[in-house]
Amino acid sequence: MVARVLRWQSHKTRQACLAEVARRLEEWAAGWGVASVGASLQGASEEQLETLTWRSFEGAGGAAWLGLPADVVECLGSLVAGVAVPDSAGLAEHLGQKALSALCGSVFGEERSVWQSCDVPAPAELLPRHGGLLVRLELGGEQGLLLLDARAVDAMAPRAPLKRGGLVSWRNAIGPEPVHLTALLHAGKSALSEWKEVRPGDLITLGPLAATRVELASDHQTLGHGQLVAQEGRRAVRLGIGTNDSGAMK
Amino acid sequence: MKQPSVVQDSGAAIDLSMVGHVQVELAVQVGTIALSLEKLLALREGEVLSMQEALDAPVTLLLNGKPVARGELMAVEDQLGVRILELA
Repeated sequence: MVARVLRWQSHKTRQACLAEVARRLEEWAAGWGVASVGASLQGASEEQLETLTWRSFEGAGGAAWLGLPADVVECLGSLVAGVAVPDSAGLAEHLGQKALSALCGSVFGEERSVWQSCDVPAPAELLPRHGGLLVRLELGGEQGLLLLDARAVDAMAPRAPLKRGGLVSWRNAIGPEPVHLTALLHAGKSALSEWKEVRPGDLITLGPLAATRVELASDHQTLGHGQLVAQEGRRAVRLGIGTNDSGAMK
Repeated sequence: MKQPSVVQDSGAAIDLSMVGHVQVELAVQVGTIALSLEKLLALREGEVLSMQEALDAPVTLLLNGKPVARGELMAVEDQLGVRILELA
C-alpha cells in the first residue's frame, strides 16, 4: 500500500512554479542558442501523452517526466548545430542529447543529471491531488510536456515555512476532560435460580469487611482497586491495589 | 406459585425453572466518582477519593452489569453485606 500526501497546489504556487520553469528554460535556451522557448500551464489528454516519447529524471529536488516528439533529439541538435536533418554523421543527435542533458541540469540544477527513457507517466502522477504540475513546453518549435512531482514543485516554488508553536501536549489538551468512575463490589457468580429467590429484606453477604476490595472502573474498564472507607460524610475509596510501578493508577 | 414461562415461536412453552442453572454475576455499585483526566493520571497509592454518594445512600445491585435491585450496605459482625430494599 502506497501512502501519498494530498497536496493540491494553489494557483499562486502553480504560477510561481511556472515562472521559475520558464526562467530556467530561458537560461538554457540562451546558453544553447535555442530561440523560441516557452512554458505554459495547459492540460493534456491521454492521447497526447501517448504520442510523446518519455524520459524521466529523479534527483534530490524531486522527480520529473519529459515528454517530447520522437525526433526531437535530432531536431534540437540540428537547430543548435545549424545542420540539416537527417544528418548522416550523427552530429545533430549527439548535440541534441547534450542539449537535453543540459536542459535537465538547468531546470533541476544538477550538473550530471541525465534523462532516462521511461513509459508514459502513471495516471496517478497526473492527479492534481498529488501535488504534481504539468507544464507544456516549447523547445525551438517542438511541443512537449514536463511533469513535475510535488517535491520538484516545492523546489521550484518553495513553500512558506511551517508555523511552529501554538500546540499543547495531549495531557494539557484533554487533562480537564471529566472522567466518571464507578465503584463496584463484586459478589461473584451464582445460579439464576438463587437470585430468583431473593426478596426485599434479604441480606446478601459479600465477604469479610477487612478484605473488601472496591473496583474502580470507567466504561467497563478496570482502572484500579482500593478499600471502602468513609470521608466527610461520604463513601470513599482509599487507593491501594491496581496502581502501576510508578504508583500511578493503571 | 406458578413459574412464569415464555412461549417459543413454535407455540411450546419453556418454564423459567429450566434456565435456573444459568450463572449470573452479581456486583454492587457503591458509588460514582467524577474527576478530571489530569487528576486521574496523577493519582497515587494511598490517596482517598470521595464518592458522590452519601454514606447512607442506597447501593445498586447489578446482575450481569444491569441494575436489578437497590439495597443498603450492612456490617454483619466482620462481614460486609447488602440488605435488599427494592427489586425490579
